[in-house]
Amino acid sequence: MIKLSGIWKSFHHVPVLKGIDLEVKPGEVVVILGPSGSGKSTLLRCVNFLERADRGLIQLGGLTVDAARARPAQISELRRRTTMVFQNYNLFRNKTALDNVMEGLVSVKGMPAARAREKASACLDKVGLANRLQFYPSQLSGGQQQRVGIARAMAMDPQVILFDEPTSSLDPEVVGGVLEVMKGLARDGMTMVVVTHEMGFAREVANQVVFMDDGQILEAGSPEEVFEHARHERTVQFLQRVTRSAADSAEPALA
Amino acid sequence: MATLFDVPFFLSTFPELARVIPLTLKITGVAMFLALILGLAVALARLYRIPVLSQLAAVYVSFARGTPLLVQIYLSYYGVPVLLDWLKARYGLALDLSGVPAIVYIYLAFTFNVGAYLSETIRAAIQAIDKGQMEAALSVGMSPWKGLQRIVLPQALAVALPSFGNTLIALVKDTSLAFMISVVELMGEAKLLGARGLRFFEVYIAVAIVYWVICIIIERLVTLLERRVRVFEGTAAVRHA
Repeated sequence: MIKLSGIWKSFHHVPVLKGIDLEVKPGEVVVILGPSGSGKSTLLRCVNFLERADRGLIQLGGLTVDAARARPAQISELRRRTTMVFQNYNLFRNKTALDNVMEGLVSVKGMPAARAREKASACLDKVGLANRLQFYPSQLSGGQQQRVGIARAMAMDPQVILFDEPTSSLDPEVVGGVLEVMKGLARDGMTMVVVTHEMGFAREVANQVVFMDDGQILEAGSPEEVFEHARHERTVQFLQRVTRSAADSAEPALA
Repeated sequence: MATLFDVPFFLSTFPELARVIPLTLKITGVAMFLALILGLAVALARLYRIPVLSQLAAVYVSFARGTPLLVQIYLSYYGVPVLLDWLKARYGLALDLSGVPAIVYIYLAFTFNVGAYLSETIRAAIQAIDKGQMEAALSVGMSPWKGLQRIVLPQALAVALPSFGNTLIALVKDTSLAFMISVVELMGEAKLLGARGLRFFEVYIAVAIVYWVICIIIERLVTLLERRVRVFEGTAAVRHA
């Protein structure tokens, strides 16, 4: 489905990605973990060319794009086959929830408005927002906005959805609802690449867990392999830190 | 002793002035419209750092904002025909400028001047829109141009509208300079009326009132428009509903 080979990327001569190879099979959920600054978001953004990798191959379905000499037509083809869910939702502020989901269907896929409206309503229904169709993003809570973001991403029928820390900006009490929607998508067989710090989601839903540090993939395997039998010291330390801080925030100060 | 203020004469000037209001509005409208197009083009050239064009745009904005409007009007009226005559002689172009009415040079000068100010407003407004908006547009497969058109520019318009209103009001008042090249708009008509009746005080008060009323009406219209364009900004967020 997706195959990334030898992805390199620098910002101002500082290397951020150092030769990443990653393969995602159809219907698979891949969770990318790692400390901040490890390059996981950048990697995700290189897939749809929101960042342009300096070197490397990006393969998606039958399409192969060489990052160093990608043509605009290839980039837009790649973007038509993928969608992204952003940390800060990035809903179109000038459009209602319904119009947010319809926008790509109409202006990219050229779907007639009536059919697009039907499809967009169905997607919003799926994420539990059937009663918020005419609300603007400014009138929705963070959790609701992110669910609209997911509906917008799935409406396009992409071959893969890229999730860039989808729950990191949310209040803790609404994270669960968003994760539920994502689990539903995974059950429906959607191919997903998810950058997140939600360990529970990774354990429960991921087919493949990838641990990144300092622009490289240190560890990749099933959740069990990575969580229980990590081969690198850094992975173990990271997992301990994250698990501990998650436990801290789950239990209000007793001591 | 002469009267300080001749009320009947003062009142009699209003119908005369009203006759030329449409011309003042026409100059304002045409110049604003063309300046918006020019301003958008210049803003985009600078934002996207298009080689050569963006440097030219920077010089243009600096010049247009750094020289008096009156000088620009004179340059347009006296300079452009000279330039075209020279081109005609040099390259043998078949141009006849004798029939071009003065108002065309007014459109040219005002578009040139206002376009520079608007380009700065538009540039700032586009920059004020969160980068994530364009990224989201690209992520669903829109081209950069489509994302600009459908997502970024409508939001930038909401940001820029108050400033557009100010520019429009300034433009209405600046059209009073058009009489300097003999286009008889409001100010020109006022001068002619004053000269005819030899009473300038009354007629200048009258014309000041006319400008003021036009500007108040424009202000109101812009406020109404603003409310419509900003509808998406909503009111209090509905949380956890």
